[in-house]
Amino acid sequence: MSDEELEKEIEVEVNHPSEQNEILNQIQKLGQMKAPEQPVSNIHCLTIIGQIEGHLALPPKNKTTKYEHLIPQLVAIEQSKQIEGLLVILNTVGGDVEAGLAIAEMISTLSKPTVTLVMGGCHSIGIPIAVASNYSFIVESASMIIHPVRLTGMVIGVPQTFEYLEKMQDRITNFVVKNSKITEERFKELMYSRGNLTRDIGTNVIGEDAVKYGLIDGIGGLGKSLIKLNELISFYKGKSDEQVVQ
Amino acid sequence: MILYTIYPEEVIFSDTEPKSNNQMTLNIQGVTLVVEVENQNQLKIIRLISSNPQDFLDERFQPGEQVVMKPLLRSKNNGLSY
Repeated sequence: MSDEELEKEIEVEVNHPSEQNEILNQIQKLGQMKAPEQPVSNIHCLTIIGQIEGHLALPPKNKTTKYEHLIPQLVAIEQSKQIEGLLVILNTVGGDVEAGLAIAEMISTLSKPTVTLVMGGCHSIGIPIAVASNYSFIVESASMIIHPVRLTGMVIGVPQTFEYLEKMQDRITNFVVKNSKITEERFKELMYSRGNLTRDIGTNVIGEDAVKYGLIDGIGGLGKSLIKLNELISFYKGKSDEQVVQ
Repeated sequence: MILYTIYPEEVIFSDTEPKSNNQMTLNIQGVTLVVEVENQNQLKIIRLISSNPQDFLDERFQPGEQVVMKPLLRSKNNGLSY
């Protein structure tokens, strides 16, 4: 066999599933103890951190959560038979409106039980995601800043731009009102209030206040979130069993 | 595109730091890993992207772990690997 016939090519090994065991042996260990074999988890967890990145890639210094990573994961969670519930942990400063709303809609339309947990901060477009689940929790120290959508870039027609921005704002407000217990009047009141943020209009809602306004369902951390999620899973299971009987 | 965030635009888009081009996203054993190319065939795990919490307990995927890539010779005619 001549060299031309053979046409050898060099490929990166990781691309071939049959060679994967080989590569795993080659992952160098740092002298850690092997973690005990874990049973397959029936709860999956999504962490939404930093900026929510959408249609435009942000400069590399930004820590981002990319929607092209999250959306296929959500589809896989919906499809998997082993996964029974989803926990979403949020610590985000906001980001792209359309990416944020897309993630929020994906979570709210998931047929499996979902619980969101707000820790640290969950601002701006993080708010629709926080309310998208079946049940939402916030830790006492976490904060949520509700403020209007701001305009940047060139303005060609003022009334048209205003109308566009108003519509953008309404998409967010409608989603939040539909998915939480807060009223539209209260949400807008918080959004346009003055004197709460030093250089801006809006409100910084902290822990218990978020529950008081009806934005979030309850105060609690990781433990409470998992208890609630398991509760929802068993409720959901009971419900689907009934449907089978009928 | 409209950003709805508490960070001012100049903070997000100021490109003061040098761009690091040597990072890439790979799929190894069904999990997505963000890796940094250290040299020709060695990668360092930077970030693990997975919704399965058990993946984060797997010591093979811990950030800082190294992945070695080996060149693979493969014939186009008979599909054999060498």
